[in-house]
Amino acid sequence: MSAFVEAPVQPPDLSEQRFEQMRAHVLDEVARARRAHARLARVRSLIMGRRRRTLVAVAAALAVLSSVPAVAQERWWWMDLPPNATLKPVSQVVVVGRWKAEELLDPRAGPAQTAPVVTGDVRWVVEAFMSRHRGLNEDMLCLRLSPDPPRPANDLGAGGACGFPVHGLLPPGLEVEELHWVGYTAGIPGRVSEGTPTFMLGPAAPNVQTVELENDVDRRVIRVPTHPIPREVGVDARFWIAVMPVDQLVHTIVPRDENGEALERWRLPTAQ
Amino acid sequence: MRDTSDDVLWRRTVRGDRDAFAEIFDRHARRIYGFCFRQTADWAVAQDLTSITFLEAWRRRNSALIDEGKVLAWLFGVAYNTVRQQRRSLRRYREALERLPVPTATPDHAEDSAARAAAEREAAELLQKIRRLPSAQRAALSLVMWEGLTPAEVAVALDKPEATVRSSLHRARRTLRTDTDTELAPRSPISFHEGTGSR
Repeated sequence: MSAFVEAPVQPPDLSEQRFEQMRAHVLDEVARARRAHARLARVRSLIMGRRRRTLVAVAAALAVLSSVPAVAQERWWWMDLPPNATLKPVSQVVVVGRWKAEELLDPRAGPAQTAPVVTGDVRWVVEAFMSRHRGLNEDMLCLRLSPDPPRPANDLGAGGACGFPVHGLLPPGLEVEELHWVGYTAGIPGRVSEGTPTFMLGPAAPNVQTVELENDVDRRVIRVPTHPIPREVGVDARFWIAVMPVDQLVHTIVPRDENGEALERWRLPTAQ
Repeated sequence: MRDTSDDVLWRRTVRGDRDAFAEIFDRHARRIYGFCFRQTADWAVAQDLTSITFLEAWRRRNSALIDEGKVLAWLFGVAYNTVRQQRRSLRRYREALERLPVPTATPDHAEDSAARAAAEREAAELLQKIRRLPSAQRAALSLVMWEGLTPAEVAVALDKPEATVRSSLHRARRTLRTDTDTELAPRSPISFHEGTGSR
């Protein structure tokens, strides 16, 4: 080994004053991030539906998406919300897709075991709308998934999420730690015990064409396309949805543009 | 809190304890700064990257799986990725960095500046000498030779198997030894040497 590698260069000293400045700065930013996270959590917890943890998933089968979206005025589900609910649609509630879970599975990926609760005769409907949260002056995009037709509350629930930290979608009045090119929510609609989510879905920035869901352990990847959210909703955005095999965890989300370039590699705080 | 282990502090950090995170900063920030400086040869950039490393560590606290006794190694790994994706890191944290006070001048400012420039020049020369190494080899070598990590700790930092790290170190040393032996020979891509065995 040559001598130059053996002897490390000593960096210029950090004065105590400078060290303290850096320390204070990092801790201030941490506090700022905590506040932003708490604000976002409050908004995202405005989860509609009867069961908070049954959440999620929105979707649109490819075949359904090609049809003209219907306005879901026949589904006055928000009338069921408790009196103090702050979440009310301020735009048209637009059905962006109706499908069976099997229709969303990629046949090229081979057989996949999915939770029985999402398959079978159940059809799912996804709606998109804008909502305004109390205390905010801006509207935010919400996505909602529910069985079609609606089921009893103790059977298959409905769920959704709002306020995704996505470029161009987050209201300016909300601060978040960072913005992404896609948003996600994941959950288990219905009477299912602990387990991995049966659906993942979320909005995407207009330039996102595909979304990859990576398992960092076994390297399996679920790749799904994005679909446009109809103009009636009032946002320029797309969305994606994936049905999750029961043994699939997702650690990283990779949105890609039309050239296949990865826009980011978003490592999730906890595997989904 | 001074007697508390890194592992305990980190567990508290994961639960959102800012004081525990502050203690981790106090313990390791200077070493992370040293690493960033030796990787960039730039005093100011190294300070920014040090801040970013700790902000990244905080951001990733819930997803990181850190083995007992490996908090510092993991922090080096965060620093390594921060340096490697320097432009992206600086862009992502641009707003946060704008809130970091600009260093203030001291009475012996000229002397400081001269020492700083000398250190930066020395670090730049050193970096030039190992620039030919692939990124992973360069990182492994830096962490072992300059930061005093063991290959097992480097494996944690780089998120690679220890055997791979040892192999990278072996290759790096072999390449650098060859460089020294043939100092005046024309430089070629490292892949040329390895691919043809034409040493």
